[in-house]
Amino acid sequence: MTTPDYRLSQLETLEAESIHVIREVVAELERPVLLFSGGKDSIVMLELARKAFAPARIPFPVMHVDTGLNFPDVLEFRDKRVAELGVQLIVASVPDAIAAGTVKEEPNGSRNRIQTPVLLDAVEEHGFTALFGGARRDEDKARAKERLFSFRDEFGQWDPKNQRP
Amino acid sequence: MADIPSAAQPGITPPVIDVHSPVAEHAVEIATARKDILRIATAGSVDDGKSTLIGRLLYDSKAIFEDQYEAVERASKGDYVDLALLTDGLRAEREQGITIDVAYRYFSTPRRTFILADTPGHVQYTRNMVTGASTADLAIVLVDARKGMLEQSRRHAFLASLLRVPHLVVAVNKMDLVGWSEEIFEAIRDEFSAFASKLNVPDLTVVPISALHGDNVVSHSTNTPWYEGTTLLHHLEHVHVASDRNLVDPRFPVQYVIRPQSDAHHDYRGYAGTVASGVLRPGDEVQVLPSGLTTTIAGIDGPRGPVDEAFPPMSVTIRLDDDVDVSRGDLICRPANAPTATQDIDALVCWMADEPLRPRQRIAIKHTTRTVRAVVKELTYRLDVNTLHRDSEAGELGLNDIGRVRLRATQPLFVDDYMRNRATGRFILIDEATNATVGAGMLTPAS
Ligand SMILES: Nc1nc2c(ncn2[C@@H]2O[C@H](COP(=O)(O)OP(=O)(O)O)[C@@H](O)[C@H]2O)c(=O)[nH]1
Ligand SMILES: [Mg+2]
Repeated sequence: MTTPDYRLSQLETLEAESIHVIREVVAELERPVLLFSGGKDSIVMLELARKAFAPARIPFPVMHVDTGLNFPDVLEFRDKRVAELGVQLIVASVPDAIAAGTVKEEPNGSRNRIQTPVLLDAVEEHGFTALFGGARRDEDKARAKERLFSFRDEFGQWDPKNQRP
Repeated sequence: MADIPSAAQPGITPPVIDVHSPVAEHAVEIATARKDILRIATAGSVDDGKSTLIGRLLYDSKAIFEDQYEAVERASKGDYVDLALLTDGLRAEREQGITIDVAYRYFSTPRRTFILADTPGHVQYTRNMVTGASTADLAIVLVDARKGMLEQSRRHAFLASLLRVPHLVVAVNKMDLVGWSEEIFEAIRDEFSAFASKLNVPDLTVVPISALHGDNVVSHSTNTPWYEGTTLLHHLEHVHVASDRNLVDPRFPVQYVIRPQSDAHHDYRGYAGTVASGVLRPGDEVQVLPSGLTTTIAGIDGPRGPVDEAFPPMSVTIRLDDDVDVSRGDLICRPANAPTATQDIDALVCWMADEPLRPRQRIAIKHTTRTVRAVVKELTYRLDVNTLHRDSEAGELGLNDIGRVRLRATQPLFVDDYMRNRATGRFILIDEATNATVGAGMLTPAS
């Protein structure tokens, strides 16, 4: 790569920033974990984490809060990717939590809401001190098309020490 | 929150995105083109029209799509489309439990990509402004033409100059409400210029606009035939920023040491970090601080493999020829161009905590990737941001106060003058008990 004018593209800039934040979290916090479902946002996150530490392994585990309602293909991809990268996968299962009675199935059958307590329980059980999650600003319907590239700009959020200049 | 796919429902196919559609191709083009990125910080008092201006820029640069505009059109009361809704609509996401102090927005024109940090204008948000503006290339201070220059405007301009934001734009807004008066515009412009000349403002531009109607924002207004300058967007697109970056002094704060400990990469030892300034290349002779040992760069790995050179803001991993001992917090530079190693820090500090800063207080300094303990030796003076008066009798720095502080660190820091190098010339102060960021400092020579 030759860049005589010393400029990066917007995507490269965001990538560099994300890698910086991921490394900083790992350097400063004891037990981070990356939320990885095999879905597209978390694939981006996992890929950024891989780049941040290559050629070494990602120095933290990944966790999936499994609603039990996922496409089998996605789970297969999840397992394959995790094996390729040699990272530890922790599965926090919503059906197990329902069976154990720690959460109750919602009347409409959606498990979007009840996965939160399952996540929090798993965080406590494993003593995680930081969570990496990928969220897109454009997830909201009303602004679905608005900012096609801003989906990585919130990676800094989970840094608990806010306000860093 | 976490990316957790919603429940798979039988019979419902997920939407297919056509990656070859014109919209997608346009998106890819914008995201991958090597264009200048201009980081903008906006400031202004409440109701000066910040949200409206941002909405106008987003809309006119087509960062907003028709359907959104129509939704805003429907939601607007009165005769005009309330562009502030475009901006403030976005604000709702902050209230969904996401705490962002400074909200960032992106828009792009064929020439440049813009990252806009919307920083709150109030005194109590000085610290947020410091955060937003400390990396900005350009600051826009909004002034309501009816009210003229307020204390707030002075404070914003002062902070921008303090943070060495290289370009300052004063947008005199709501010109429609003062009958497009040239006299009013000139009075504000002259007053501002006079004030700015007392500060260290390298480049000041004053533009008469109406954010609501769009005059002089993207296209020239027929309402201001007397105005010969450029439109706001034209200025944003053309302001010369290439020379603002420091590509002269190589500074690489080591963030993390990469040691794979696997058979395939048995001898690999890389120093990961983000280039703070300057350009680094394989073969360069470098010095590692604090050890002072010199060696050469064996190779540099970027996110997509080895690279020929690394420059800011690239995140890379540097391999060195010799097996020197390097750890997080060390700094890689050039032997003939090293920063100052010092335990005595004399800096302008913006205090960000409720509990004031006082002499003899113990505190941690985080400078690049290096964190050291320190004690506050002296509060030389507290600055009145509105009058620029220096109060040398002040006994403490309260929340959002700015003052000159002398600190003594337990270990040396490798610093540059903030004027020359914003990345290695600034630091944050951390309360060791709570881990909270309680201050931001700039190493500027006492004047
Ligand atoms: N007449 C006129 N009104 C404006 C202009 N810009 C903003 N406003 C109005 O001023 C009010 C405050 O604007 P807003 O953008 O919310 O200000 P903010 O508090 O700085 O974000 C709104 O009612 C806007 O419609 C302008 O150029 N001309
Ligand atoms: Mg507003």
